[in-house]
Amino acid sequence: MDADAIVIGGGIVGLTTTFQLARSGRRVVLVDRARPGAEASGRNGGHISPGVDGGWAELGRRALVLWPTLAAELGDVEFRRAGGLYVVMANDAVEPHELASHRRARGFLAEAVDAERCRSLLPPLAHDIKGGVLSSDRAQVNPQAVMARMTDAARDMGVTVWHSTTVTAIEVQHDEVRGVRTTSGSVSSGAVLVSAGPWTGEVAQLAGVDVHVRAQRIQMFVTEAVPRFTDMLWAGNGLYGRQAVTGQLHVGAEGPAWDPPAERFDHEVTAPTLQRIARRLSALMPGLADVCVLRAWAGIINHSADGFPIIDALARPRGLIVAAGMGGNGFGVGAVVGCAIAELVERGTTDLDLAPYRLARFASEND
Amino acid sequence: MVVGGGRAGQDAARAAAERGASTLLLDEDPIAPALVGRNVPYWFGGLRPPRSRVADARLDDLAALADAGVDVLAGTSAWAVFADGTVGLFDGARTWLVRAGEVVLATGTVDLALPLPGWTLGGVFGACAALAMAERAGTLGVERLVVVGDGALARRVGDAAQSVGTEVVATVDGVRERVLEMRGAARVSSVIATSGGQRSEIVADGVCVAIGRQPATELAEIAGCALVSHGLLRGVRHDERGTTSRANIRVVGALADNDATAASARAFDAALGAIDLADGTTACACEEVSAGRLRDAIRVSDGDLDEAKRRTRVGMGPCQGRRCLPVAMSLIAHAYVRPSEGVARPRFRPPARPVPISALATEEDVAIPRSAPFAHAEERLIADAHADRVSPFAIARFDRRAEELQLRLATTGASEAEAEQLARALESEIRAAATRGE
Repeated sequence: MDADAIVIGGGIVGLTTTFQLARSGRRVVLVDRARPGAEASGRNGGHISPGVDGGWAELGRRALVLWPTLAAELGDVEFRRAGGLYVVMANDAVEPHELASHRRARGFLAEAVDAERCRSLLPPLAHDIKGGVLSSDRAQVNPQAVMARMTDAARDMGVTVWHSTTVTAIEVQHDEVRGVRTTSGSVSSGAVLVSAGPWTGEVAQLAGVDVHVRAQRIQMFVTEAVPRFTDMLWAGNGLYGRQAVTGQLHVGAEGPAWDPPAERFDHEVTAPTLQRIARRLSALMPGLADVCVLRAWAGIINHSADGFPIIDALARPRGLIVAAGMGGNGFGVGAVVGCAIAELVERGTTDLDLAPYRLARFASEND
Repeated sequence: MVVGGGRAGQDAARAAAERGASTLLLDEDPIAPALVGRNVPYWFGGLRPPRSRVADARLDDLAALADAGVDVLAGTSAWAVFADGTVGLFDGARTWLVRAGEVVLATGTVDLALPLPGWTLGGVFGACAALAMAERAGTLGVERLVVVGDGALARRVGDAAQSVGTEVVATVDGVRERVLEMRGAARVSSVIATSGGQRSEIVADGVCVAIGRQPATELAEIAGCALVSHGLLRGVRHDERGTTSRANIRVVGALADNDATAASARAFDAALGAIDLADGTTACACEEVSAGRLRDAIRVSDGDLDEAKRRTRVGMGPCQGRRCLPVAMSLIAHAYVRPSEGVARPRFRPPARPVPISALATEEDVAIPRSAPFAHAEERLIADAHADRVSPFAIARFDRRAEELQLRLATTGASEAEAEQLARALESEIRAAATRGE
């Protein structure tokens, strides 16, 4: 069997690449160790609210432009672009206007707003806050709906999806990728994308390529449905949250230092982190005190050594593309990365400047 | 720690206290109205007890346990059991954690819901709910009851109902005699049943499904105990002492009775098989997912329940799949060839009971011992953030990593010089990261 491209890893990066290539009429085989969207891409908070610093800025700006169109193409994925409010707590070290001007200087919309305005936007908010930063182009989406619709659309366009499949070999000859062998069969192709999140290192190793990413387990919880009080994203006091169309609150935060995220590949929920999320949410939104938490879960994100993504079409072996390290805002920017890689496979170039994301930057730092 | 104050839990607690172990027993009774309204842990189906209290017999038992040296916490649930033996407790107002050397789970069984047409009407409920209601509240709030099922469980329900003044107007075994439909507005008012080819309409304001029960495995699942499949149901794998795959966790009583679980699974499968499950019938009541939508999702997911869950939200509502997942598994099992260990079913995640945010927030925060070099580094970064030389978003990243490092320093008893070095290294890393790629 042969294909125009083989994509290993059906998260947002791999699935978007697959989807875009299929729309251009390319023949794609998507391989996943479980199901597309079973990992971080199907477990995250659904925020399209990228970071603005360093190598994230360009990807972030593009994500905010891409998502309204992408969401419309996918159908009902509960996309709502009502903006995001970053709440600055009374004891935060920086002021709302500093955060706002920092975002604006990097090409993002941001307006400093006072405490009263914050509370009018989010009624359950605490009183003793400094104010917040309103970014009107940030959006939310149901990540599971995105993954389901994109997978279905890809299949409808003829993509072969091999789920529950492990890649056993990446064939390289004369420094060129030839194809892959998997537990579901073999495929020949001159283009192989490894977009396997925390597993990228072990898969890339099959082609003799060293990719190091650090896994981090992140926890969230969901509450019962409450009457809709906002369509905005919100963040502050170390946590992030949104309210689903059906009213449930999805909230997450990093756990405390004594509950280390470590290099975990499990999906266990821990009491200290669950309690920290609850404590922070209680402080941020006392108005939600009586709302019941129904379920907590964990997902695994991955970071590169310098905290910025790895997106690289390698020279050796030629045809191997690596994409990982999408970090804590990966769902939103992952779609941008997927589009860029699809362009790269199709046309040989992409208008996204990939220089900041080269894999080789790590090797040179070790010399 | 013993979770569950029924017979098996009491016995385990008494034995532990007699051995000289400091023993704590939790009993959830009386089941809070908030749980009743959410169909947790039983399928209450809209039954609203006018009052709920711990039954006198249970109170006497718990008092006797206290006399035997057991600390008894009534009205207290366990919302999680972690692999290290930490148990999360909830008393309705706050949560707290207790570390136990051994945890004994005596949480018994919960209801098995059948997706009969009209099953989401008020007044349609399960056997565990009926028995709990009769015992605790002294009434079912039902005048005319139809019981579905013909085993010992159905008979117990019939007896309990009659003892609290409810008339059992019909018993339908669920296989040879079947409920075709339940009718009513918000509450069931009549039941269409068939028996030997004869249809009849029975006036009833309550229907109790008493086909079988499933073990309440949620805490064992949360703790990571190995499970064992019994057809469409699953129990906890354990040895003759009840010890699970986690050496510090034991299961006792009905929870551990894998033979009874297997029997319930067979009865459940037979009863399900007798239902012509139309696409329009509700499969997941909490999330209002029809059987048709669930079937489509299962097909598209190629028989993967996790994926079907993500696609439809089946099992994600307040009852966390207690009522719908066995049915979902039945749809998968009959359409897909599965290995002998049964259909894979997602594990329960904490909390095992809905817990208010404010209650989860009550655990004490552990103080991080602060060290001066980190405070100074943070001050420098903040000053530079104000001067727009460093990203203000970097401060939170610094704080988070500084917290980890200071904790490590405190536990390893490192020197001032080491602290200084680590703080400066972290500061440099944060400064560099904020600008790289610009």
